[in-house]
Amino acid sequence: MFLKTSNLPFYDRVQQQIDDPVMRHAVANAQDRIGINRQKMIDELENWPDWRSRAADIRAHVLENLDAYLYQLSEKVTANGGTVFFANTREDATRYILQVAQQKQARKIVKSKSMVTEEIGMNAALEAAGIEVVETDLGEYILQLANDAPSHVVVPAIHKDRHQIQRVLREKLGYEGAETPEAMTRFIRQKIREDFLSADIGITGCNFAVAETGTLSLVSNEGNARLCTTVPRTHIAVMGMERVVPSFAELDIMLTMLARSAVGARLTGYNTWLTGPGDHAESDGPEAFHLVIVDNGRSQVLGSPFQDILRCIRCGACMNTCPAYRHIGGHGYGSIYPGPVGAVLSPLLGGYDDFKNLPYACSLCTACDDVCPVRIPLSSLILEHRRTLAESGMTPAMERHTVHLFNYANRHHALWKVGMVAGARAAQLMIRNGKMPFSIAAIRKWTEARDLPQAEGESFRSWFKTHQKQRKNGEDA
Amino acid sequence: MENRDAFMLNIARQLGREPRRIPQPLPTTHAAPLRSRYAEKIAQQPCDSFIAFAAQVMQAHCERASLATLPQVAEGLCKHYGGGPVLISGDARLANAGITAHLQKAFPTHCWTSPEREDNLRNAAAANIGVVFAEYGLCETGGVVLFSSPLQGRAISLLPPTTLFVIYKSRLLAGVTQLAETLRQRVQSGETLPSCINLIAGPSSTADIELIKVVGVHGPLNAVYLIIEDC
Repeated sequence: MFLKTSNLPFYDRVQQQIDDPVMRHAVANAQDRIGINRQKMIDELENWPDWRSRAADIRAHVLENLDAYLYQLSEKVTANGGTVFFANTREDATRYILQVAQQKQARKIVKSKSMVTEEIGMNAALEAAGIEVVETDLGEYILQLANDAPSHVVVPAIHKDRHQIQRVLREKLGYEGAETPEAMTRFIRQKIREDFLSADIGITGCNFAVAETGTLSLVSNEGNARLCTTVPRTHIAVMGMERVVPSFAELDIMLTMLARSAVGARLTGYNTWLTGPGDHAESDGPEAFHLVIVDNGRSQVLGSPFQDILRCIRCGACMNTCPAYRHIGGHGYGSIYPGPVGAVLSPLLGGYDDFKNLPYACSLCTACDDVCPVRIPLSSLILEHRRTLAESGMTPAMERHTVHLFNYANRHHALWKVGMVAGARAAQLMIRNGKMPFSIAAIRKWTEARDLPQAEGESFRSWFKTHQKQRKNGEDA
Repeated sequence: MENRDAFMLNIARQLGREPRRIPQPLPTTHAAPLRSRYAEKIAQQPCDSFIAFAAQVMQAHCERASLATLPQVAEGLCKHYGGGPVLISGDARLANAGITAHLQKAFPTHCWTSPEREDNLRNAAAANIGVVFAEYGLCETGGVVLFSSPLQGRAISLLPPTTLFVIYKSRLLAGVTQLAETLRQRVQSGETLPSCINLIAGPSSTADIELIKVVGVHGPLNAVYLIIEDC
């Protein structure tokens, strides 16, 4: 189930989420709180618009020179003693990771949170080969136990409350403690500690890779990414191919933008910068390091009207501000990439067959455009998807026919006029208590959720004409 | 990297140009320097700013000590957090400051040695307190910077419930920008970077359950900064 988090049809998925009061309360709370903290952090910076422009320029520059930066990066990582694998597809990536795991005769793998490993379906591939994979990010660990999917790129289990989490811990691990976040966190700490100490391989994502030095930057708060790269003898890092920065100077700016936008902090608790597998005289840390650079559809986006989406640094600020996300949550999107960024990225990486509805899970309010730290024009890209879908005839047939009819009438003045007069009359006769006795298929979803206004029985044009005439008469008199 | 050339060629083709091995220079499109509103305060009072942010926001326990009283203050802090077993980094600067010998007398103490992987990790897992030398402090983020080395393993500041970071006041940097500059200079002068650089601010934490911050997840539950007043 590549990228997808659900097999339900879009509208069923959305309805299910709208009917989930726990999720709706949790997401609204998260949006409000992260939003306030983010604003504080932005106010601390004197010239936030310049910071955003600089960050956007850096990311755009990297994309324009991506082959060169990946060349530099791979040269450096190799010189530092690491191994680099370029994966065109998700299958290439998982095959390579599995191969390394089998060579190392790994039985247990600990991994920290990584969207790209979710994207390529890595866990399933490893588990199918009999290798145990333990998610160590607290939220991901809970989701793995619950056999659930992430609903946010930064806070993956945001849709669950403490009661639900306690139930999962009790059913799966026999937890008998309190339902406070503190008690449950302490319990999970003890549980995962054993896994860390016995794992053969640690797998992480990569927030940014520094091309100049071959350094990998991992951003976290929990310490699990550090543990994954401290105890196991092998470290595999998986990165989307666009996550490169030229040097530490640009890394500084990107980390500032990421922490402030994602969680409303100057910096997260842990920032780990790894250069090579390390000095062999060091007695901890990995002895072998593999960097898997994943394309998986990204190169198709380069040079297309959607290229700017590859600037994304996965901070989640767009979903933290989106009114659609607020109501339908991450699972409403049915993709591991939800929210505005998901509405753009999911159809590009996963295709329109599965994700053609996502660009419509948006009111084009443009709030996401204003918060994006790398100035991705998200709403324009969402609109671009809609244009592509409409032009390729992938929108629903009824909607297309209705639009054709509308366009036809709009081009023929006499027909339009008759339509308006008749329509206004009909509306006056039929609309009772905000509803019509029948529904029009093309706008059914819209009319179901709204009460229609009481109709005046005439069109605006005819009202205006009468009004003007009356004024004129009045003045004359 | 047999598939690198094809991978790069595909990217170049999508971008509509010949493949590149050397990136074009990064354009400086914005002349205005990127500033924060607190930069001036940090420049005037680096140590106070560092301690204020570390203690109030990042929940680190900060303590200052003169060179003369350093070993006693370190002992007092270890006692406060439950005493031994202590695992101390083999960094010579801790020994030179008199901390290593003093803690070895006061508590059951192991010293991180190279290259005993299993022993070191076992000691780290069993230790109550890990003592490390921090290369720099970052005033802006209330954090410290650790360099891994054969004598200072990654696990010392990770597995024990409490970490004691020893840091010289003279080695406080304004923020990550200054750290990035320092590292870049080191690289350009041909130095090798440490295999693991950690920027750590306070104890480990999570907010994954209902967005409520809980301190102490996979890493330490307590972070103690011992600041040596050497200037």
